[in-house]
Amino acid sequence: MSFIIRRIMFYLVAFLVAATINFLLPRLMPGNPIDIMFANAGNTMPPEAKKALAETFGFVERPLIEEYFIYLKSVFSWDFGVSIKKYPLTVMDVLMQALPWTLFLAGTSVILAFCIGSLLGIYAAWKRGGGFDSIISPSALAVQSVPALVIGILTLYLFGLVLEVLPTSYAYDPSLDPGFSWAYISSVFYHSLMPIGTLAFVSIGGYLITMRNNMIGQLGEEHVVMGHAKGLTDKRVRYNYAARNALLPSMTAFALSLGSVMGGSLIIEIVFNYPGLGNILFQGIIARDYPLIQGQLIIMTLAMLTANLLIDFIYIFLDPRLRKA
Amino acid sequence: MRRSMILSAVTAALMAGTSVAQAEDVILTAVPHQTTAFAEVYNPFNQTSDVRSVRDFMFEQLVVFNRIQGGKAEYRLAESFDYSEDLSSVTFKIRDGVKWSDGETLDANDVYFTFNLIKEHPALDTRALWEKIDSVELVDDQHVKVNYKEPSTGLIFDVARIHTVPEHIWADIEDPVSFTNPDPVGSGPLTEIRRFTPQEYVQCRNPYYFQAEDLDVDCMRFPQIATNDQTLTAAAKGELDWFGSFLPDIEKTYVAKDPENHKYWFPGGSLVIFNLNMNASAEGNKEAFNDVDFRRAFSMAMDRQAMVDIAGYGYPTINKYPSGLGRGYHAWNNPEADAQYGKYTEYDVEAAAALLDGAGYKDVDGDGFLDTPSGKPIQFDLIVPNGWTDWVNTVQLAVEGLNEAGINASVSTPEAAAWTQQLLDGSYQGAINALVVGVTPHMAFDTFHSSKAMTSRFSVTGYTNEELDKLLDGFFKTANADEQREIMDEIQMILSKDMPHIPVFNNPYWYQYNTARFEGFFSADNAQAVPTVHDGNPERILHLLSIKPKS
Amino acid sequence: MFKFLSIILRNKKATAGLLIVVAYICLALAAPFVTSHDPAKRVARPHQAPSVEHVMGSTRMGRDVYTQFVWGTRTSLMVGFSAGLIVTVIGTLIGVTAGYFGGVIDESLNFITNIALVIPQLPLLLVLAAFIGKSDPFMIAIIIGLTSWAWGARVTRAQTLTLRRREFVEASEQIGEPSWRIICVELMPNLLSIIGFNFIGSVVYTIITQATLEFLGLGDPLAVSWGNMLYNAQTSSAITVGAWWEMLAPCFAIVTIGIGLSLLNFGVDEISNPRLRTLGAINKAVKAQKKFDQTYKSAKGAAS
Repeated sequence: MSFIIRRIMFYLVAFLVAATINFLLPRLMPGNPIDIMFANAGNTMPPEAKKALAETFGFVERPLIEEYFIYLKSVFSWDFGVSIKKYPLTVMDVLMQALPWTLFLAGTSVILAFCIGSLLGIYAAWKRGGGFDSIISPSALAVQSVPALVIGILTLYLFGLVLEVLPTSYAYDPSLDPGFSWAYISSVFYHSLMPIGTLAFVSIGGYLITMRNNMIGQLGEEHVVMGHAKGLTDKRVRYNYAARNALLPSMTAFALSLGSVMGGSLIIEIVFNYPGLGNILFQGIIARDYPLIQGQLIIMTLAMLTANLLIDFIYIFLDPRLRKA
Repeated sequence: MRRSMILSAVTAALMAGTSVAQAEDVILTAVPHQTTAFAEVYNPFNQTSDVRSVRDFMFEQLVVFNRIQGGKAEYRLAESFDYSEDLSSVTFKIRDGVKWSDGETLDANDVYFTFNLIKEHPALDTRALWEKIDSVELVDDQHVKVNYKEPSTGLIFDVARIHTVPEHIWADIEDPVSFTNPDPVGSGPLTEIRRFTPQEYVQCRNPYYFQAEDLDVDCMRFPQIATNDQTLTAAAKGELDWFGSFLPDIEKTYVAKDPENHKYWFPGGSLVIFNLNMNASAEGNKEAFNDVDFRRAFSMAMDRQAMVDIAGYGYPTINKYPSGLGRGYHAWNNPEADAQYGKYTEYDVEAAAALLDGAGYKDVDGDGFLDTPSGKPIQFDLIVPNGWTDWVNTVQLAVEGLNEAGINASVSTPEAAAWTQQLLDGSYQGAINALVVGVTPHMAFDTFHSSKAMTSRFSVTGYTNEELDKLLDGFFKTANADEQREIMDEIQMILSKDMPHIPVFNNPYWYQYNTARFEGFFSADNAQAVPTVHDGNPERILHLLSIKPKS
Repeated sequence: MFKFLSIILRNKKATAGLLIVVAYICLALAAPFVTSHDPAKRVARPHQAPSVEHVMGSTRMGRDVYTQFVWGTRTSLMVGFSAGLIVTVIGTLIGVTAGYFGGVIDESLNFITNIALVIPQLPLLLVLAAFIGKSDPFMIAIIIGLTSWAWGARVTRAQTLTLRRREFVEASEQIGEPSWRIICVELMPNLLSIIGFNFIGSVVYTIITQATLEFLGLGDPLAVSWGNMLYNAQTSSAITVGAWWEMLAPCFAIVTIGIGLSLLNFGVDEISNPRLRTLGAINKAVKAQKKFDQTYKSAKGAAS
């Protein structure tokens, strides 16, 4: 139990640190969103109008410390202010619209990649040295090092622009109303094929390799050899003895890869004009929408922390020793 | 039995999901703005919203001045306007019988109300009208009189662009700055939001529109599109009717997909120039930039044709007017300026080098680049906002020419904000910049007025000229066309002689259209007005009324 | 050194990886000799297909894709290696210090590492790159280096912790060797493979991340690099207008260097952890068992 409490305490502090970095970042950098917004407009906005507008968005001159506490309060009261780019929507509104899409994209692809990769890895380890292993492992290795960006661009052009078989943008056909209809759901599925496919594709390799290597390690362990000696079936030994233990380090890799999955999904959303957090973040950066950027980083950090916490729980489930610690 | 009932209910629900609008409606698909998601804001004073069909289409202006027709007045909510004798006030006569989309009458009271609204809330006064107007009077139900602080025939271009809002609704709004106007009541052709999602919205006909007989488009559909590439994809498939976007190699990527219907027209718009800071912090640069021979040599090192063809894909309009007038205002052109100073806008690196040599520029310190006649080094960056690809490429071409002429210039790409900042605080040495062009050439030239110096990013050269000030002031003090012309001739002579900025080309107005479903689009052969669908082009209302479904 | 090389050459994957990486390094070093002009120079008409004169075609701006590719290799490798170096130095320092000294030092360093691990990296990088403004390749290397050391620190620490309990370290401690000597002489050689792994991994990560930042337009557009080649190809819709070569060249470059470095890394891993290759005797035993089971089963089946 104390393990859980310790972890939660850690996540709280980590969150506070992230929030502080988040607070300092835009304030250390040059450029002011109000200026940028009108930098390219042809009309000359009078200074009073600009100031009035800035105040509407909450840009009031205050001492840094005071601002920091106001900021912390806003973070913990779950209120990140109004988005400049998407005014009058609040940052929360904008993010909550985008979050499900990112979760869908990242979640589906990560689970797909983890399952497929791990299963293939188990198999490759079992038959190591065989034909399957000697083809799939090096290719997994190669694929693992190909960035989502490149795969995204190439599939976008191949399937979207040259063959014209898959949609190149949106999460669903814009003429549809979201709802529990077949047309809508199938459209969502259809539009997610390329982004999810790309994301899953680039991360399968990593899981495959990790799993294969762990499995091979496990296969040499005494209890696995024992299992064989006891005359258990191959399948039983493979999954209950070896895979279960090999999964543990694989889970660590999984937790560590969450960041890169989020990063990958960010790029993929931009490439495929998918309405998720990554796309919103990118637009926010370009428009210097500070409230939006800040809210975004907080949400992303929270997502990372939550995922890590979940992994911790799974760990406890898989490794009974931790329960006592 | 029960089963089939459920089934049919489900089918009905599924069908409902796909219907967009009634089949008989004429729907025009347009892209006035690229964004990642729409949010509902129908406040015509909002400058940041992604819903860019509120001004003009939902809220009309008083008068539109047609820039392509030499500033011809196209009357909208006003049916006429009159100046006072001394040109210090203007009275608008509001059109009779105009109704708001809720059926209420629109009259001078609403206009009067709106002027006062933006006075009370400066954040709404986006054109800074109240810096130049003194007061507004309600003459009667049909007339509103606007009193200027100073006589002017040019201020009307800003004043008449006010988007009148209904007093009977806005009077009760506590904070009109943050008001999102969720149930818009407007005066324009399309006031009813039929469907709204972050990825698409459909805006339909105003039942009480005053010019309904000319409106043949029932609804406009605005799909969310985030990038030029996505515009291109949708456009190539023929999904868009009216849009304006940078499309690379447009003949190949867009026109060739359906040569019959896929068309474009890129009339010249804002004036792209190079600014050299005459108050530059570096001594050598300052000396050079203040020397007209240096500026002329700079201009002669500009391969304008390459900039247009390579950096601009051939879309911009080359600008070889030594004053920077631009082809769009050719009617104002003073041929004498061309005759005397035209040679300084011809690309000729050798002549540029010769000019510099003659003016005493030599390589004193042996770094391979020229130094000033007094022996100080010249070395400067031309700043260009990062991400403005065509401009970055333009500046690279400029630097190629300058280096060849012996000038040590290089490219620097700060973020757009930093670029603006450096222009505004005068810390830049050289920069590429663009001047917004108005109804007459006066708007761009007026940036050289000494009173404007360093007040916006458009007036940052540090060049002033008293004689020029007088001419610029005089231009709008008269309503006489011949007098105006004479003044403009003189202005051009001064600017051509001094060359305080180096014009290179005019940015295109981005405009593409598709005649598969509609006709009546503006084009080079049917050049009725600036054709773009973008917010900020007041003439777009004229264009909408000219578009008809194909029979 | 020779010994190390011969070990690598015995491993097929590592050899292939090494070949690719060495080829790119040579290309980068030889850039001035294998190209004939400045990569930013306009030398051709826009979007010329690959030909004898321009073996990889030309860009929209009329630049030679081959020349850009070669000079881009230089930039990418330079950024990759310098960021990799920063990451490795910081990661190793923190990891070894935490793992060796333990106690409060470990607690606090480990805490910092864990926090750095849970802060989403790419979004942070995007924001940093955009806020800093003119992010030339050098700047990108520094910000990637300073934000990406946590993983290496964690792995190094774990390895140090195990090594620390080994007899030879404890023995050195007991005879009173100074800490720096134990770290440098006893620990470091045993950490080399982890450090190498960390370094190569960071190089791959940096090259990819730099390309990504530049592709999104957050880099310095004047730099000649693979990311900017992608960016320029994207802004001129190269594929749509049929100029696939402009897009494909940088894609190919990024993919192959990534594969090369990963193969090398994998090989190094296999070498330092021989079990990954074959399980020798155990493996054979398992096979024998299987065979025995089968014959036994079939024999039993035949009997009944």
